[in-house]
Amino acid sequence: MMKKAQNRPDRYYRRDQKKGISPPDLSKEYSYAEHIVHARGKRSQYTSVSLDPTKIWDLGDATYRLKTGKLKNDGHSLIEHDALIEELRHMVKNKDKADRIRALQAVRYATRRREGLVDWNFDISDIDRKDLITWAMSKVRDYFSRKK
Amino acid sequence: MSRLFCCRNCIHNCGQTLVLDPGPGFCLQYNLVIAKPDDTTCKYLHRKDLPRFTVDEGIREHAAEFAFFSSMVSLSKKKPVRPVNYSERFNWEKGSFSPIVHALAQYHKMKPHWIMIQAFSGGVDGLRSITHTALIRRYMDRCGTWKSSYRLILALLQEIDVKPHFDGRDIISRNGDPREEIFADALWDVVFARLASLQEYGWHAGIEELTWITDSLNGGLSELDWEKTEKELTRIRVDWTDRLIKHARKEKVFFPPDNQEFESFED
Repeated sequence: MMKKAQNRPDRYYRRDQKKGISPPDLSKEYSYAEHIVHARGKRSQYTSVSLDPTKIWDLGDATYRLKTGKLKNDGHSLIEHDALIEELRHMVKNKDKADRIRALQAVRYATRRREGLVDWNFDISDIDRKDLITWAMSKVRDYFSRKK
Repeated sequence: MSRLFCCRNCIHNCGQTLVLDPGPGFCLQYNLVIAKPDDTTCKYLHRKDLPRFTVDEGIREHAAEFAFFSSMVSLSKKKPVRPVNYSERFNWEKGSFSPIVHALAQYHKMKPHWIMIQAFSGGVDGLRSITHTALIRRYMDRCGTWKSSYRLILALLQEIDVKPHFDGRDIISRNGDPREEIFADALWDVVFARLASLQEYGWHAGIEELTWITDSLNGGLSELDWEKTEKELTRIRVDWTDRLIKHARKEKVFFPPDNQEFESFED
């Protein structure tokens, strides 16, 4: 039993509005750190998720669970928590100036929130930029189920 | 809704952070009590957690989002917040008196303001330390020059390697978060806010190396290891005290000989 539990993939959650998951802005190309500290705005190409919904209580009224299997089957990427922290630490060591200070705070915030990121891989070549956010809203909601 | 954009993380609400001080805050921008600092914001938000020039794009987007409100706004509902004036009597009667909020509520009654800011220096109390850093950053930002702030920054620099202390009443613990984690978070809130003060001064004064002072902090800060960071901060204190004085001398603002030692402060 113990072995099975250990092999079970981690579950990721998102806290968001009751009316649904907030869409990413797939036109943006932010770094992980810029996304986590909202350096360039509140919406990026990523969607934040967490291993522990109690750590992200402040991000919305409803809890959603990420459908990890469907996400991966459809070609999207999940940057798991440990990998994200490792990448941010790499940024701290190898970047400088604004990138470094933002990565320093991002490590704190991502650790506190046990955060992971969804990196979407939709084909948006035929979507007008002005329609991207609305388009993404309907798409990303398929990858989350609301918890009672 | 990201709390990074709420009043807790704004320098105009000097005495709080996301994990520090569970009570109401006080906004120096509007001179009003912030009853719900987790869910209040406005277009003048100036983040505490990072130097302004590293998150400027995000701050400008936020300002545009709340541009058409004249005062404080609910972050979640995007509706105006009812203004609440400070009353010492009310706080004593309700048992909600906070010495930091009380002091900040007197800020605009005191002139010149730098006297009050200096009065916050030299302590080891975490709430006073975060208040001190925010007051200095706000003063610099409003004056728009480093010249009236170099003595404030020199004072801050003398305590940059002093470990702030927190009382259990100061911290915000939710959902059974281990208290040690919250205390550690509070410590790093103060450390990063102090560094951001130096960095914003570096930006105002055009001192590139100070603007990116975090590049010279190795190991300790990235590992969030206080023992290591403390040693590096001590090195910064000794090194930069001398350098800031030299810079001020070179710019002819270090205690100019025309007896303007105190009057040279503005605001």
